[in-house]
Amino acid sequence: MNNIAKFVYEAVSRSSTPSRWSLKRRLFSYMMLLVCLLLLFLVTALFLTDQFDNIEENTYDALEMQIKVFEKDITDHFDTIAAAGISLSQTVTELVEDYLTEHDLRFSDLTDNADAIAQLQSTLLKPMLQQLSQENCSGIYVLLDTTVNSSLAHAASSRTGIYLQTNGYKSSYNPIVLLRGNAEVSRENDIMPHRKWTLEFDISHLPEFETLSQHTALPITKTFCFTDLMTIPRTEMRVMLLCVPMIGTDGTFLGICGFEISENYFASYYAQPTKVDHLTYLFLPSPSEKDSIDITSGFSCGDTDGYYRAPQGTLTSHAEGHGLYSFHGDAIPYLGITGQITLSPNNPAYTLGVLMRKADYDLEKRTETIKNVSLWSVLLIAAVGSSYYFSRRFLSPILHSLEQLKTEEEVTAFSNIPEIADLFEFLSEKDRMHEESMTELAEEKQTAESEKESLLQKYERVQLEYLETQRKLRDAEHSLNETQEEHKSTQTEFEKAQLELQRLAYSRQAEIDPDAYIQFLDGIETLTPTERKIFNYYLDGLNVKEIAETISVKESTVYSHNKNIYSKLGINSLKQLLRYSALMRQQEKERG
Amino acid sequence: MQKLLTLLLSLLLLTSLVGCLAGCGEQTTLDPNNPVTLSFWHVYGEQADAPMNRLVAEFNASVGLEKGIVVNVTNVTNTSKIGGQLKSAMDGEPGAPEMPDIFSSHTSHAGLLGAENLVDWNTWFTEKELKKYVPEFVESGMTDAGLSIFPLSKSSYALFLNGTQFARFSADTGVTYDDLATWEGFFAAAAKYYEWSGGKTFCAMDYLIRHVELDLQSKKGSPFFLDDGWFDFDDSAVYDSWMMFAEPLSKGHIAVSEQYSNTHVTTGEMLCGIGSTASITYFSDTVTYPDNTTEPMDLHILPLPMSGSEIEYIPQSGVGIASYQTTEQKAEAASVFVRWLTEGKRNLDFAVQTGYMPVCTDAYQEIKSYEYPNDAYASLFDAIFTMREKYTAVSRPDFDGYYAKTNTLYDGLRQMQGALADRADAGEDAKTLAEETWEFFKSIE
Repeated sequence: MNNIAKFVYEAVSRSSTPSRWSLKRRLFSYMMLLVCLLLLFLVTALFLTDQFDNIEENTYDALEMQIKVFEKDITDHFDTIAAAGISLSQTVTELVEDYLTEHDLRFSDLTDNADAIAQLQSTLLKPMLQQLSQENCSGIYVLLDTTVNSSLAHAASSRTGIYLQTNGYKSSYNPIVLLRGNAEVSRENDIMPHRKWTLEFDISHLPEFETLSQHTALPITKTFCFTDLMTIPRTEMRVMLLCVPMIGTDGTFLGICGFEISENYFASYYAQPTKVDHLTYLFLPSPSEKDSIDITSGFSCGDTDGYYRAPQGTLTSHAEGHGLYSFHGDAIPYLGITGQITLSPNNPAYTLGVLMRKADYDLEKRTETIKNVSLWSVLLIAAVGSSYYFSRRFLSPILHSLEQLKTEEEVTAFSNIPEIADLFEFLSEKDRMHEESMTELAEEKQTAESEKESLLQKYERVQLEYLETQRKLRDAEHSLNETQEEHKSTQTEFEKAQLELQRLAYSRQAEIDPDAYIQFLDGIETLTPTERKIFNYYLDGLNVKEIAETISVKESTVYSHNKNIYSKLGINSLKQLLRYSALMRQQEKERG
Repeated sequence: MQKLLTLLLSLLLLTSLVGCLAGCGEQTTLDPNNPVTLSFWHVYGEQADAPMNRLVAEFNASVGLEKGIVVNVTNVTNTSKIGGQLKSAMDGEPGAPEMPDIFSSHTSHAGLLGAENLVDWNTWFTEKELKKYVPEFVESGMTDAGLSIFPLSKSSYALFLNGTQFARFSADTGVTYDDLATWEGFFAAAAKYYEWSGGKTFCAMDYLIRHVELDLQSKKGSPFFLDDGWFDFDDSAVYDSWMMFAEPLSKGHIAVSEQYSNTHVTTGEMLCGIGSTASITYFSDTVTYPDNTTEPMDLHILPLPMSGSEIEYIPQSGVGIASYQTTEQKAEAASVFVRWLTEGKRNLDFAVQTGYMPVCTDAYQEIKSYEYPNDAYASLFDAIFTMREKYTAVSRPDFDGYYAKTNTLYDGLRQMQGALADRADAGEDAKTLAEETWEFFKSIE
């Protein structure tokens, strides 16, 4: 394995030690951090833009919309009914007065006059039938302030009139029947008496009759009113009546008239379209106690999909926040909202309510919670999974390449990733250059070492020769000192030794090329101060290592200087340098 | 260790098996948290919102609440009209309401709507459960597609009298209730009443043609209808039976009711009426006369007058409950409602309150000791039991178009009867006048 690859591999290996995070872990962590930040931004954005589903607010909004539509339906309908009632009052008043004028009767003359009443009813029946078919209602009535028999015990509360009714269900077959009035007259008009028919009204069940009879001075547009929900005597039908007074031109109170909204009709007519399941709509007189509503006091209806279940009894309400109220008292707990509505100036406000089953609300809340938890869990799992997958996917070729580096002797790996491919190429080139450099250095080192060895051998030999000469000189001097007589002989021997040294220098001189020696001598002058210094160290007997240590440079630097010195002196080895130097010194010594 | 593992595995298997069996036994499409709504058309209390609506409210507040069913009454009509309304709804005619999920129905309506479009109650009731109902009532609801009409209640006809006025009439003429046991005595009493009252009709009859049919059957002893369900006018027996009723009608002694006979009695216009036993709920406690005077009704209810033949017949009618095929959930919900509605005690209470005969066999055990709401109900059920003991109850076979023909007949007779009575009073021969009605009768095809 080459050195660079090893270095990279070791670096990676070091990074995967337990004490440090691996590339995978590090990248995964960064990606997770990124995902968390994105999720945080998303949550913040959703929160700031109010995009989070809030079940309480959503429920309130949905119910509020329902109650507004319901309120508009009721307001429009009752307004229309009131207008039609006022028109009916005017029409009937006109017909009654026309009849009285035609028969030269006063209104009071109708009392105990069954024939005249029957004729009058016959006159009124067809316009009433027409009006009934035109209006959205379940019944129509005209109640005259007179009776066919004033001698009866109950005459004070018995008043004649006509009361026509349908059963209130939406059906292609919905016959009109006579609830009150002359049965013979109605049969002549193909109207059958109701099975619970009676001839006259019992006004003791209709206090509005007495009230309206006392306000004849006011215009009928100011005095009309609606009854509370009432049960028609001898039946189980619960109805609400519009009461419009009929005032003659002379101010005589003729009676009241109006339309009927029955419980069945209300439930059929007001069934509301909605996307919320199982809603119940309430229309009630305003409760005397704020926190309780009596369901039996008013009407209710369901939705157009067919759901309708009227709560039973009295419900108590508790605020639940966000404008919602819980209602208890029925077998089913409800959640809903209420509102108020005014239908006429002579009736107190009515309460409207829209109730949903608490179970539906709880279910929706649970579903929403589960949905949210699931959504965020899926997002989180997807984020973790994606981070894991992509970090693996991203690092896998890198780690694979590193593994290649680890297993291969030379960088011949290949990668599809341009950056890694470039890295491989770079490492390969570095390897190649390094190999070349190392080869050159090894060769130089080998050459230098062999030269050094050779020079050292020669130097040692010269040294030995020099030391031998010195010893001989010392012996000669010793001999000179020992004996006077032997002075001459000693002097002779000294001279002989001198001669021997001269001979030796001469012999060396004879080995040297004169031209090369001259170039050597000339080249010394061209040496740089550093080269001259190194040259002198060589002359002093130091080797390359010692010189490098002496001048605090690398050996390679000394070798480099050597090259220059050799080049300038025209020599090619240290041995040659030392040989020429020795000759140069000998000549300098000879010249004195 | 191995033993422990085996034991644990066995326990796990056993728990799974028990859980599966328990779950399989309780499989239901109903969910109390998401109730299913059933729209319901019925014929009980068309003009008074009487007992059926109360039962529906009771169901919604109890079993309906527990199981997740809401029954919503969206139409209350009558037996002669409901078939046409259902057909209009099913055909989606303009202005027709939505087809109901459950409805009162004759067996003939199954043919009209297509029995295959109706739920087969056999799917939802076990044989053991069906054995709790009077077999002939269950049988009457069978069609080619199975048990399409589930029995709920059965009615017959009875004679309803204004007891207060009859007492005065009886005191003056010597006519008694016993005289009204046969048609002969009944028509004689009617003639006397006409004379006694100064020309007032004695009795209003809701379903005149059924009395002709029953008289005919008692005389012939066998079914007499042609293939189309109408009469063989070449048969002299048909003529005889028709004329038996047509002559008193032509004289003004009896009349076809304008719609329901009870209104004629309630207005004091006629002394008595013959109609469904179920009409008891519509009789008033008082009679109101044109001068607004009133008197107690003192309603007396007698068995139908008979022809005096060896075998006598009484009509048996009454609709059952059918369910329109939509979803399995609605079919299951309908079966829960019908099962609840026809449970013994509840069926008895409903039958008594509405003047019907119950359909549960258990109810017949208890009805004799039943505490009736008032004397009128007691006399009604006395009359019902007398008739069931003495006579044979027969249902008229259902034929398509039968009600249209009878309505045409009644409408024609209503238009004719006043003039015929005036002409009879003027001295014209009653038989000749009656034959005019015969000709009219024959003209209906």
